[in-house]
Amino acid sequence: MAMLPHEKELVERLKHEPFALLGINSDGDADEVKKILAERGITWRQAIDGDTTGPWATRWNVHGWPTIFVLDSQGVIRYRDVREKKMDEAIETLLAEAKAGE
Amino acid sequence: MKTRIALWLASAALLGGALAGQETGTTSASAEVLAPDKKLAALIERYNKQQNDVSEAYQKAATDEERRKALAGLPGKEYVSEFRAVAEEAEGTDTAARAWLWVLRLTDDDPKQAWEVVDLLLSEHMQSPAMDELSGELRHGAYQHGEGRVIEALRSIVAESPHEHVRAATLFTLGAVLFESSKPQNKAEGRDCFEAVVTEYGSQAYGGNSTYKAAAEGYLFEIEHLQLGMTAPDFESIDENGVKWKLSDYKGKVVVVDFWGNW
Repeated sequence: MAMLPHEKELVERLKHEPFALLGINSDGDADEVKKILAERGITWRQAIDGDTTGPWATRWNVHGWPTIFVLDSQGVIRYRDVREKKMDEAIETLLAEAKAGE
Repeated sequence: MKTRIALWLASAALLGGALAGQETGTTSASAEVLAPDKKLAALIERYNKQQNDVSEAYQKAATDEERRKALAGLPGKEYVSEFRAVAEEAEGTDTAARAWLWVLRLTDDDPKQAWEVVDLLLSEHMQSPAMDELSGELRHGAYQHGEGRVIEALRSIVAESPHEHVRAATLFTLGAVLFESSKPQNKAEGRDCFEAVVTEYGSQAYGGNSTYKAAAEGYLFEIEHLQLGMTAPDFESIDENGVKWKLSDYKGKVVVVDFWGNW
């Protein structure tokens, strides 16, 4: 939750860039999560994973929340568990790479 | 602080009661001298109750000040001497092992004291079926307690415990500690541990509704498919409106995958 202001800022700042923030949520069913998204003003794509033993979290062996993977435009995992400034830098680097590769 | 004083008073009163009971030779209900295992159970119950009370107060709190106040009542080190007393009284028994594990939990910010307890458990209580709990504590303390020493302790439990569930849990924990280590050689050994867990202890229950096989395979999948530089395995899910989507829909974009919860 502490990451929320940064994530909102990120999504707004990069809305015209080839960038996506995807939330894999472990709070419950779709109705439950809808309420939380509305309360918190979260607009980006969500996966309803159910609980902390949901299918995606289990497949990706996630045992701590939040856990973050940053992928480049080719889908390769490039960074893990970067926050705030480190996350910004990671995304900038990968956006620059994506543009150079066009 | 208030809670601590109240607790201190409560334990002083209990101690007083017990002493008074001994002096007069009575065994009235209030002054009954409990067997160590009952004492341990009562102590754990008191600790958990205090923790639950704090958690309830925290949830009810409306301001940061109230939340701070609530958290100040969390149980902690004031319990060490009581757990230690039970452990010493029950020396050599499984109750002692379990009481020492509580001492360890409550002193894990003090490496010197923590290692004294770990060494005592390793030398005196290797036969205890509760030694899997020591493995868990060692894992959580791996950073402040020194990785090498933690790995060595875990290895000795895997080699010496007579209990299959203890060996399974400890080999799994050893795999995780080795895998999370920064040394490449340790990482490779961690993988070997997970593979051994799958083949040797696969059917052992892990948590309430999983097996060590599934848990170890989770790590093996992470090792093989989720490392930096690997193409993220595709996954399909549904969003809050029931719309199906998959990770590969976002190819061509820089993607942050954020596993999160509203807690």
